[in-house]
Amino acid sequence: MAILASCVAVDAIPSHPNAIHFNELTYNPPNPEDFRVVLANGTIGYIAEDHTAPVVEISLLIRCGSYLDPAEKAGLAAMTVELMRSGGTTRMTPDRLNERIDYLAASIDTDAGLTSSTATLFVLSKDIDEGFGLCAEILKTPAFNEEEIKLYKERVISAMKERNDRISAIATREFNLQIYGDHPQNRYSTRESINAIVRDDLVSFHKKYIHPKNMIVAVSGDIAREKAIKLLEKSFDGWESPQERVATITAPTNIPAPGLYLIDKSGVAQGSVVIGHTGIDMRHPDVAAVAVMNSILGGGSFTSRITKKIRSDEGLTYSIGSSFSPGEWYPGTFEMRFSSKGKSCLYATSLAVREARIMASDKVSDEEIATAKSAIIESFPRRFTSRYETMKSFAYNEFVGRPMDYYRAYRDRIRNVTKDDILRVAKNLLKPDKFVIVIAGPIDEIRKGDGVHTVALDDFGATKILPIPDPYTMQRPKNQ
Amino acid sequence: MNLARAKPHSAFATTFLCATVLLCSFSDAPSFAIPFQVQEETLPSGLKVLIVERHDSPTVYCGLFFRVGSVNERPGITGLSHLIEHMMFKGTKTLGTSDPFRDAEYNAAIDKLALQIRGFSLKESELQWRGRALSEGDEKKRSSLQGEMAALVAEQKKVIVKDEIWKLYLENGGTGLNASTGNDSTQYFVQLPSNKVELFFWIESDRFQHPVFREFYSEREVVKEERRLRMESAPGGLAEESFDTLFWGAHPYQWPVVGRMGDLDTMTLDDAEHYFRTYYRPSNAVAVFVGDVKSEEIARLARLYLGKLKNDSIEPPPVPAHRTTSPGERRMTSKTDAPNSVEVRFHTVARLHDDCAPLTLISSILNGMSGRLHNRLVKEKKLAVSASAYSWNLPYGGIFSVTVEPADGVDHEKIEDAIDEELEDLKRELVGERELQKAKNRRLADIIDDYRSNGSIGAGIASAELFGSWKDIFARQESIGKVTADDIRRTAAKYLDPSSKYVHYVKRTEKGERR
Repeated sequence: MAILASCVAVDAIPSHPNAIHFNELTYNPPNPEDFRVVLANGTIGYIAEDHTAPVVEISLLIRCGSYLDPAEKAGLAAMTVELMRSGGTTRMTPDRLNERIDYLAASIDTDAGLTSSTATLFVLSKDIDEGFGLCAEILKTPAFNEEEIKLYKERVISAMKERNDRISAIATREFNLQIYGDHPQNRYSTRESINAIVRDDLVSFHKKYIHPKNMIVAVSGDIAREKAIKLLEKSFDGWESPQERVATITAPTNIPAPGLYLIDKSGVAQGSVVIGHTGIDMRHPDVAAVAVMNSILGGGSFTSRITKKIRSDEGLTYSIGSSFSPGEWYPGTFEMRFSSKGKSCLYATSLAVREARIMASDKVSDEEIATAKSAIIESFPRRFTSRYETMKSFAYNEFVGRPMDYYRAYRDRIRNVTKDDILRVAKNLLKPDKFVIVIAGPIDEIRKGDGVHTVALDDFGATKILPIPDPYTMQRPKNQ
Repeated sequence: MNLARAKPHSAFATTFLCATVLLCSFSDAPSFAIPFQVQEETLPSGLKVLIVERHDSPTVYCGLFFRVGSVNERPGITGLSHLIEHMMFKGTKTLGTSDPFRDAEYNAAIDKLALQIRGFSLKESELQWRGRALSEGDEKKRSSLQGEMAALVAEQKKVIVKDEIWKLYLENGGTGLNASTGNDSTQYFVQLPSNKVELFFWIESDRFQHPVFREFYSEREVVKEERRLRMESAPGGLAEESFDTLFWGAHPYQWPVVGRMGDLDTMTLDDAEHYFRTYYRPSNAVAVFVGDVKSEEIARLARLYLGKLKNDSIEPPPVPAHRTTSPGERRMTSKTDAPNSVEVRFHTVARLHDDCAPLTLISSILNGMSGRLHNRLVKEKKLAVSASAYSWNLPYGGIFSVTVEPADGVDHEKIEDAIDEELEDLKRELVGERELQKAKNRRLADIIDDYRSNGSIGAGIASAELFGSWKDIFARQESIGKVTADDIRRTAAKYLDPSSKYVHYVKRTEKGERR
């Protein structure tokens, strides 16, 4: 009997998931110093070997973006960066270059954002030398072929028509305009500004901003570290960099006017809503507490208050969430976003505003803070499953000036957040009375309401109805 | 021991397959390898478990895929597979409620009221056809019922533990928690830290054996919002829906996965429970684990949590064949707030058909910055702003499609002519060796890229297993390499036949024009 008992496996299903015994998992994030290299010419690189697949990926992060556009030539950065890829090189015509890249089954992409641009390479490891060479060539000696410039302009101008097709795009654009006002973030290319750009502008822009001293490189894949260093140094060798350091983006000076801003788009089934105000930047001492607070309010999917209330309970929306993104160089924004059928927009908005008020006045529960912190901490290893993504994160951290121990110290910063901290930051930083609320959609439907809940436009402050700008000029029509 | 019982499925079958495919006969031909090993276990219930060990990172992709999707629906319950996917997050007898008994009472009472309200809505709909409305008395009755229902829903909240499944996964480090419904399958997946895999087994075995579809009516509203977001507010969404209906005709692929609004308005809890019992069977499912796991441990957990599921040997209803016979050319024009475009579509073949590979390569030949569509329509003839093609082979049918956005001032008819010309070219001239090799290289590199992360490997092998075998991935890779120029010409001629094409013109409504 005793022998039989000891042979019986203790394999029973626990009565509840909380009763499952999990083994300890000790996890330490990779160390950026283990991957960092200062190349011969001074450029910083982060290199990781990854031999699980016969591919190599490279990402070059460049301190250059649309914030550097002259006002009358808005769109210059995007055009330059795009044409580097599509306009051929001094050695290869666009057709020959495209043909060769496609034949290698590689891809080289360039993309310009507001404060940074990227050039990325995906290539099979057997072709790394050639792939690398082509990528360097595109960055170093682009030809800016006139035919391709013309095609690009036509495409970009034609696409302007689509700027007012999506209610979420209209709402986002208006929100940013109300928050940041006249600032590079809100500068849009126009038919006029695109047509004003000539080939010489691209050449100057490229010379000024696309050079090794202005880049940080991330490399990952089926390549030996030493070889990667060699290839990078070979590409940067002899590539002159202008002396002056590229300025970072200026901070906005606009003071937003709180209230409700409506943009009419009839015939659509929903209104797209953005609610928020100015937030914090990356250097703010309470970044961790803000992250936990946001997770509870609307950033933690179905563990969040607004998702539970407005989607799960009331069935008023499908996609909803909040963000409190610390800005890179100046304060970012706090935002709650969702879309809902026209007649329930106002009621849903009132629910979201109410949740923000509650967060700014009452302490969160023990359960909520535990769930939020646990979700962030337990999911930490997942950030580093891709070596490529990890190298890019390290490069990005250096780009924005985060300390080397950012990831090492991350979980502790989250662990140390208390309920008092959350209430303190909520009181200081979450200001429902300052909310800018933008709704793009069928105003008639929105105004009517759902016939059940009494919510008026006035409940959200001064109401303004804004006309949709002309997509080619981004000017609002004078008469309505 | 019942000797008459049929031999059980093999307790633990281990199949190792490391694929190395060498392309030959062309210079510059790359050799590719998808370096992962799949271990299989089939449980007595018929549930297949696939395991891939990858120990780079202490995380695991866990998935449970079911062979059920919009193709299994019928008019009246379109969108039900997807609604059930939503309902699967509402909990079970254990999860999501603090009092399963009271909760069940509420659900029954709420459903009873909902059906009565539905009765009035159906009556109202009938009257509306005749330009009439519900009588005042009926309106009052309906309002009263709605009030009663709202009160019960509010009361029930006291015994509901909100979104407990989400909470359990997220606080244990779950990322990428989601589910997805397609034409043919419904997929549930999450990535967990490797020490938490047992949580997946606990939750999944519970929610597939004892789901409770609580909050059914509020979730139905969420799905309606999803349809509004994806389809009705999205530029060109409704036009696209109409074109799909035209293209598929009587075939069950004709309705969108999210379903028709009319059906979402009227489907019932009973519909959902019946559909769930019909299709959510272990023999109709594949479980998959890719990442930092030990296969013996996964096998043990599978046997513990899922071993006792019954194999009831009931086959789900067959999908009606509805093979489309060629009715001749069909076309439609949509005027809407969306960019101008021309789409030309053809019926092709289902997945695993021998002609899938050449059709895929035809799309590669047409696509890309050095592809024929971009070179000829965009750069050479300056007719288009963008142009692309795709080939999509589903379990019960296939599409080949070319979509082009005209440059300003170019007529749709001219675009269609240009598309026709490109397709004729493929039938007239044999594609050159180099061009064909380029297409193969790109397709094979895509496949390598597709199988690099735990998630993409897991989703790939589970999907393949649902409709055949995970080994089909390797066969597919091999078949790409074997395609000849003759195959390209032959399949272009057979399937891209202008006399049976479907054409969609989308025309943007200009300012001032009535929509």
